[in-house]
Amino acid sequence: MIIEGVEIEDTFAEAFGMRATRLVVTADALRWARIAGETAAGFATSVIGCGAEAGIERELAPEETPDGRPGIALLIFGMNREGLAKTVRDRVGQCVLTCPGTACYGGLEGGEPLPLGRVLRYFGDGHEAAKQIDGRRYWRIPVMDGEFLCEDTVGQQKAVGGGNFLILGHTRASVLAAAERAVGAMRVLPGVIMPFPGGVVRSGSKIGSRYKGLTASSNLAYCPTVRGVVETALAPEIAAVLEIVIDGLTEAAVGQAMATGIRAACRGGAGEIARISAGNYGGKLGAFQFHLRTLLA
Amino acid sequence: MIRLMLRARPPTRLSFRGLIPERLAGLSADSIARQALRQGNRVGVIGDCFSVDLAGGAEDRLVISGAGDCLDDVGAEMSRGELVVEGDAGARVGLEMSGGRIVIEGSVGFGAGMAMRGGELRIRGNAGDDVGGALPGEREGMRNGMLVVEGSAGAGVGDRMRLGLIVVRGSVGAFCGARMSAGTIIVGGGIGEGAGAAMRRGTVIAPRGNLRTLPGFADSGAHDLTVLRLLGRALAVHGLSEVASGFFDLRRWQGDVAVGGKGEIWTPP
Repeated sequence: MIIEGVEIEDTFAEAFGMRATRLVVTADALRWARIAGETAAGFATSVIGCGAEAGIERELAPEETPDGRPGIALLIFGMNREGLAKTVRDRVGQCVLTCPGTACYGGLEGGEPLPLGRVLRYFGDGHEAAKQIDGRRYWRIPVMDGEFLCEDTVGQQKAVGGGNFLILGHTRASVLAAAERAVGAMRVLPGVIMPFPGGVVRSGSKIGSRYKGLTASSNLAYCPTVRGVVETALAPEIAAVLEIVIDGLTEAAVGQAMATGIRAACRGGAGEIARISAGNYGGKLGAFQFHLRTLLA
Repeated sequence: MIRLMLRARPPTRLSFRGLIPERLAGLSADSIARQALRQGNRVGVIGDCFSVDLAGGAEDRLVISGAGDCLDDVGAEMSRGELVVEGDAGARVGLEMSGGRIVIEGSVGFGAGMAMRGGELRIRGNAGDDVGGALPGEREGMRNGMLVVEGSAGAGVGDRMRLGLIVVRGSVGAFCGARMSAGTIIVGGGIGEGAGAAMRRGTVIAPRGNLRTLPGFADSGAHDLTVLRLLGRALAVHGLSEVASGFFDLRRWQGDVAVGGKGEIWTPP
């Protein structure tokens, strides 16, 4: 399959079941909501090393938020409910509660809820107060600029993590430009995040290592500088590879984002982008498979 | 829909306790007319005082017209459906109701929403004393639900309130929010003396009230808080946006310190 002069390899991305929640963070200005969201989503690129994957899903206009202030929707993914609960508590407690003027609400319904305000409330040292409004319970925690308002619990649901595709090109600059096009196109889609820096990852990994104790190591088959001495997956003209990793609330959302991203990466890439591929483990580990040619058909 | 039309003003008070949409739904007009109705100190039947008409629409909708202030306990123990009174009603409207919706087009007497546990009670006119209050001897008053008085209310609004929301568009009498342990009371107009006396927790908001707070309340300054914005938006959903229009830069009084001081009254700055 060729799209805009770029070959789409006949392969698939392998993804895994995760648990996810959506938080709505508001502030007096969008800038501060975004700062809170970016801070809370920090060090959350890979569940293997960070215990969570997180990112800002989108910005929210005042009329879309519970308190009528500008905000952001933040998606946080974990491997299970318990792990997700802990990371959500810690991230909101350290990065949102601390950020001037913010408030935090649940953005998902259903699932066994994650405790949030009910565990952060103890920061109020006895002067916290619960308030029930329209059937939802919130905690008001006194802080130095007023109150931190936080919903008592937030919903969570099953989700999909690890959707991905690889962009292989003739120069590092052209591959990065294609990756930026892909991420830009995917950022407007609902229910997905690209958790790596700027949505792009350059350090694709394989399972295991020759060093004892390391569970993952550089995917040398896609590293152009060692292709002369390893079993490489790269043709001689390939100078660089970048990967986009996608986590989504549903399988459909991940699939749609992958298709959108790949099309955007290919756009104008003829002669510079050689191939789009994807990462998998032979189909033996992940519960979800995203076949590139099926997605793009 | 079931429509009960009062034939003539009865010589005694009538108690509508137990005569709620969920129990009358599905019955024939004759059967409804034979339902017991307490009239003063004797028990008669609905047919003694009302004509019964079954019209189309939802069968768990009950409309009472022409009853006036002699009709007590309207919607008592109601848990679902809708009850509309086209006119005034008497005491204890919505007593211990746990769900559904009651609309009183006129005014009501004493004890509206007393010991209410859920649902929505909306009174278009005025209400008497003890709105959302507690039954005699009970420790807790209103425990949940939403109670709206579009006119004014008497003394003791939300006495011993445990949870829920009371909105009075007009003024309230003395001791609003007294002894409350949680919940929210919003007063659109003036507020009487003794508000929040012995309140342990909970919130009274009176953005236009000229309140002289009790000595047990401490001034914690004027603030513009997110929780008030959130509350304001919730009120707007229920058609009460003008009540929340003054929810900015209000002064927070914390009290009553005699009983822990974790309640709050919000007044103009």
